[in-house]
Amino acid sequence: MEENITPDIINAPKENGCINCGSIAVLKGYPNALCETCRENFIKYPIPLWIKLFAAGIGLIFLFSLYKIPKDIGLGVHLEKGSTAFSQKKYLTAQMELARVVKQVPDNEEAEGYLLMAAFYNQDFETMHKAFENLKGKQIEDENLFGEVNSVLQKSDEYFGDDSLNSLLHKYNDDFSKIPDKVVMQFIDSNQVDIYVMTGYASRLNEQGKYAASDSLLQKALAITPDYIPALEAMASTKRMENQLDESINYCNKILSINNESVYALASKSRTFLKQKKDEEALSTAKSALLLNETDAYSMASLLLVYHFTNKPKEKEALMNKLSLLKDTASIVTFQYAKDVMSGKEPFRN
Amino acid sequence: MFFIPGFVITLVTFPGIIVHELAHQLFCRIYKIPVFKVVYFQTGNPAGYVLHETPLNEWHSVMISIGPFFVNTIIGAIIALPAALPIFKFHTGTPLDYLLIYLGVSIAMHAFPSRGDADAIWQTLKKNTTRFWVKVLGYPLIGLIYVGSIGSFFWLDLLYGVGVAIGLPKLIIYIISNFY
Repeated sequence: MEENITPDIINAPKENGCINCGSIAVLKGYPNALCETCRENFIKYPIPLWIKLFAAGIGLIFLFSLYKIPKDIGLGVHLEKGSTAFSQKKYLTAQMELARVVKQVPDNEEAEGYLLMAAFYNQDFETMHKAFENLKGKQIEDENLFGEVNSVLQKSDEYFGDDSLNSLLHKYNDDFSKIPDKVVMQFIDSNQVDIYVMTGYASRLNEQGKYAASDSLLQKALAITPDYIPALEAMASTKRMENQLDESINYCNKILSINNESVYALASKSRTFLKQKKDEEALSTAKSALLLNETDAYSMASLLLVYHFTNKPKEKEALMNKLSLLKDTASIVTFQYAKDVMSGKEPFRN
Repeated sequence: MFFIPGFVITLVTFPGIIVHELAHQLFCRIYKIPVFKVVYFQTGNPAGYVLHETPLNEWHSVMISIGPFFVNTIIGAIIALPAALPIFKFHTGTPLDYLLIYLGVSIAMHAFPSRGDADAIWQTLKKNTTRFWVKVLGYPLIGLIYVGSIGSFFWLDLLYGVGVAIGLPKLIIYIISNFY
């Protein structure tokens, strides 16, 4: 046990001058009779060289730690924020935070596992695949996490075509849109649980304006896997086109209950609100979607529609300029649909 | 509960003892109190001590006694902080990280004032000239020190060291993540 001691022997006043040197010039008012020089010397009691060296070593380590702290705290904060966002089903935030951790600590199975799952719920299969590759051959010690990752990997099978679809696609230059309706329907008849093809074909029917057929096919897909995100997304759109607006909102909410930060669900919900003439809700929901991903064409087009129907020409023009800069096919199609709605070519709301 | 001879703990955690005694000495120097002898480390009991004049100012006396609590806690926490995450969260600890954790824990676990420190405060508090508010603060402090001293038999000091070195980083990260 280490101590600090103030013994009576030393504190006892001496009659014969300074207790150290015997000088009669003792400074009054202190417990110990010491002359000024001795008092100063005892105040500056020497620290041995080895202690100075030890202290210097500790000091260097202290400075090294201070230097390392911001980076490590930063990493810890990203992991904590990522894990918290994951538990709150805020998968976009979770993916962003966890990607930062994985970049700095590539060997961390926990961050990689959560990143894989967050990417799955964000439908970012490229990131999910990378995380899967990084996890290969590594052991996830946390049994719960291991179970969750396995479950997500099993689920993800439904998000890709199987071998029979691939061989069919091969005949049509790997382009699903080129497979004739009749052939797709035959494929679905002989692959009754292939919800990937069902949903793809339902989307095609939606684009063709065959909403009832699309609806019925999506119902079938959702009966097989109720939380199949692409089918829920397609259903939100189909229901909106069928003017079953409350149902459309319900499907958006179902997606949001799976992923609180589903940009598509928010943007789709905003369009349905717009159709319901709930313009304020439409505006705030579209803005929320864009806040989560400011380069998402579907969200930008949704906000554009809100600006159009709420008569905000300046904001509308600025957003149109931004959208016109996006050159990928999906963005061009999305933008074109918005333009068609604004020109009245595509019916949206009366 | 298992028993490890005191001198083994003393030997293993010697950096914490040296920092503790050095902190006493530095506080004496800050308050200009003459120091007559310092034992920074020994295998006997006590493991280290500082022999100094009784301060005239009772507050100085309290601070000299409890100064190491702050010094050891802060130094232990800061040294261990960057190593705690690689070891306990990311499982990527290097030998350097383990060295930092060892130093952090051993320094922080010697933060607790000893019974000798409590006795020094007691001597000051029992004086009639000691101000009332110092007594109000001081007596519970002595109680806490004694509790800590008894608790060290049940590894409370080690628990504190581990808490500072491992728990504190987690707490800091939790606070920053959730409130900033």
